[in-house]
Amino acid sequence: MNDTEYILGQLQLYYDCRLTDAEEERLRTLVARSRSDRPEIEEARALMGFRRPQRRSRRRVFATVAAAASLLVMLAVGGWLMHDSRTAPGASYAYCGGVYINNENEVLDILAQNLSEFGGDIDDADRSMECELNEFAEFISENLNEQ
Amino acid sequence: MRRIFITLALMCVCAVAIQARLNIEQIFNDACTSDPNVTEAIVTGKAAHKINSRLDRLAFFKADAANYGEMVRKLVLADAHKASGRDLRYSDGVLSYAYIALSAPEGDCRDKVNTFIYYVESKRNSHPATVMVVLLEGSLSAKEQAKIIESLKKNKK
Repeated sequence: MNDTEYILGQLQLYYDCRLTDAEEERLRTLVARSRSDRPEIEEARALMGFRRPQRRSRRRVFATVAAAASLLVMLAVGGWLMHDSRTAPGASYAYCGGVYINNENEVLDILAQNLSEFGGDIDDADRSMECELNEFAEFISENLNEQ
Repeated sequence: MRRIFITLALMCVCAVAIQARLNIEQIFNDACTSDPNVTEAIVTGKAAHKINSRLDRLAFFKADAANYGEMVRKLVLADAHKASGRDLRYSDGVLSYAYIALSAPEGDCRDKVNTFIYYVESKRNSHPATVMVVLLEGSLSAKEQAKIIESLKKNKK
């Protein structure tokens, strides 16, 4: 008979109130020292006060998880704020032809040069839109005249 | 305990909402910048304030349409879905021009951060077609952001 089986047998006697005070004391020691995770022994540990009630233990776990989660959320928000352009000290950089440029004046030159081209393309888009609207207006007026 | 979890859940939702940035920001990453055919320029923070005190960020992206067109168009259209104002133009069934305003562009916007995105596909001068994206972010009105672009165009050397 191994220790676990002996404890289980003693527990049965304990629940039947057939143990002497000395045997009960010995059983308490065995239950406290046992490494078995059998539910009967777990239950006995709780009953004998060797383990905190389940509810309280769960609360402690939740509190730990809550604290860890709060920390993670704060770190995430903090990290985001650190990288936010509005709070950043300021940076100007460009990549042109695979070359990294961090001179502010050069970056502004690149921006100006490209925005000029960009402006021209926007003007083209506007003209194109205007032409199409004019064509559409002509089509409408022709149809109205025919009616 | 329940209160703690509700508070945490709200904090998580807020954090996720805050971090859900613009789709178009994906083009301003290392993968694109290592391509020699890509031109990218970004001005933020104090450097941006020198251009306009209300400007927080100005970003420019240019690349060949053949390689980047489809990807950029998808990102622009994804941002257009949540826009408060948009002007989308198509040519031959393909997005050729987009103006997107996120958040309220008009009225009192001193404390509001507005974002403006321009997209244009260029097919000029017999050069290979290119796609360009300009992103402006700050407590700007629609008129102010247009002025910034005009002023930078004039600075061309």
